[in-house]
Amino acid sequence: MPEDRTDAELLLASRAEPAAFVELYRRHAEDLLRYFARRTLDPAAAAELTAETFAQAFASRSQYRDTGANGVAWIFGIAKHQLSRFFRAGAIDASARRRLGMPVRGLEAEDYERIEELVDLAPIREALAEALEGLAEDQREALRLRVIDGLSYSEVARRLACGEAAARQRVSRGLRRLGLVLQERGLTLAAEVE
Amino acid sequence: MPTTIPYLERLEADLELVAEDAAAGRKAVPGQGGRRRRPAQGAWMRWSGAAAALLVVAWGIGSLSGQSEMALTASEHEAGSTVAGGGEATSAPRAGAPDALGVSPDLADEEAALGTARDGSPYAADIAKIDRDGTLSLKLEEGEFKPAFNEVVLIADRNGGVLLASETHGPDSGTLTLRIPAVNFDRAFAAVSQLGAVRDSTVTGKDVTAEYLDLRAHLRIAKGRRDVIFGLYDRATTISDTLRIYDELEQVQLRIEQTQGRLNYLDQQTSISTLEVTLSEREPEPAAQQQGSGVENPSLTRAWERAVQGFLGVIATVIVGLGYLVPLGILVGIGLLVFMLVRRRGPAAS
Repeated sequence: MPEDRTDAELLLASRAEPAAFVELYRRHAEDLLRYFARRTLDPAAAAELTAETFAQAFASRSQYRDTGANGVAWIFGIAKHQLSRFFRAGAIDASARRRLGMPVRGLEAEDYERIEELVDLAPIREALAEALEGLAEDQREALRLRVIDGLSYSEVARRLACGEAAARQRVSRGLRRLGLVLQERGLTLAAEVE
Repeated sequence: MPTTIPYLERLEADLELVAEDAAAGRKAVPGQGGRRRRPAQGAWMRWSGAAAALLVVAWGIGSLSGQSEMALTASEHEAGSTVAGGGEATSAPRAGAPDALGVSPDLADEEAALGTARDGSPYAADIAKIDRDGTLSLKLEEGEFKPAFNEVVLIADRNGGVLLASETHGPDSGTLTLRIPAVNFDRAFAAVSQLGAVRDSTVTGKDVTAEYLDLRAHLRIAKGRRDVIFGLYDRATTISDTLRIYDELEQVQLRIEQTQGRLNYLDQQTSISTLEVTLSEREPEPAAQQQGSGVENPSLTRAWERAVQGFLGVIATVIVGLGYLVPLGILVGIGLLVFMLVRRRGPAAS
């Protein structure tokens, strides 16, 4: 049954009816994942940040006040905070998930593929090429094969003569490094979602 | 909008579980997930464990500290005497050793001018003010108690002192309390210790020279102030001036008398020492029997008292340990804070 309540109404309702929050999640999870993926360029980091943001929002939903703005703006406020903490400390907080008893889940091969599809690299291709030069050789090569040539991880692993997990790790680290470089230069892959 | 990313589907399932838990625990903890209690309990247990570990460490440090103190006391005891007090003290009798630390001509003159020195006394110019007392316990051969008792009285007399009190316990043991001029204390102590085998001896000393000199300076200033006020008193022309000056004069006079009283007390304390001598032909009874402790005569009252003492002892030991740990903890905390700040700025700067 389609849900016709607004985001703000769902947030307010979730205090007494926690399942309403799940509906809010369904509406915005992918947007939030894209938000993080375009800023970190790291699928694993983006996924974890998404999970932690929703966990944080759920844990503190009683603090939400309907000020007339769209309720999702409140969640993106939490997301911005998580992102700035990630760039500052280089680590992802998991305290909200711990408090709620939620597991910290890793990504599977398909997740990487799908999350990378969310990231549109076209707007910053030039800056990206420049930033690529600053990466370690193995990371740069892995990124080139995966992102520019669009090869699958198994093919990247074969070309680099390493395991698929190692290939994924090199791409992931390279993307994270790229994300930091772009962040320092004030570049983002897309406009703010809010 | 249903997602097509498997990770988000798994995350949705996790959130649904959390929401169900929250719905189940809504009445008990409004707005909180039911699962929250488990981690919270875990956190509580972690904090309790940390606190218990801290207390154990504090107790360990306190025990070590106490043991080192006991070892120090024991080593002093083995030397044949215990030294206590805040100033000059001796660990063995010094026959005929001078009590003075030295004489300052200026201060001797000052004392003479103040009139606090007792002219003609052997220590009129002695500015070292040390309050000394001692105890001496002697083991005598059989039949020596009475001659030794009389000899102690004679020693006190020969050194200008007196027998203040005495107490005998049967025909072969007793205690004498002597008051002896401080300047002769060491000589008398040495003479008495020759009368038998020294079982135990204690000399305590408290150096009050600094306080004594301070008081003399205060007295001199107060007297000078009194002279000035006297001058003003003579020149007062109005009744209000006279009354005000009189009040002031009264206060200064009171201060002079208080200071003089304290000086006199210190003079008396430092010029006469107390020596308590215990003479006995018998070996002392074992402490366990004297105090009735141990398991030979069990008593619930005594057991309770010992339990309370033990409890207080552990608390005291923990407090001593915390005294060491708290400043260390503060230093470590500051270090961690600096480390975290540097670490935070590191990625931002890079």
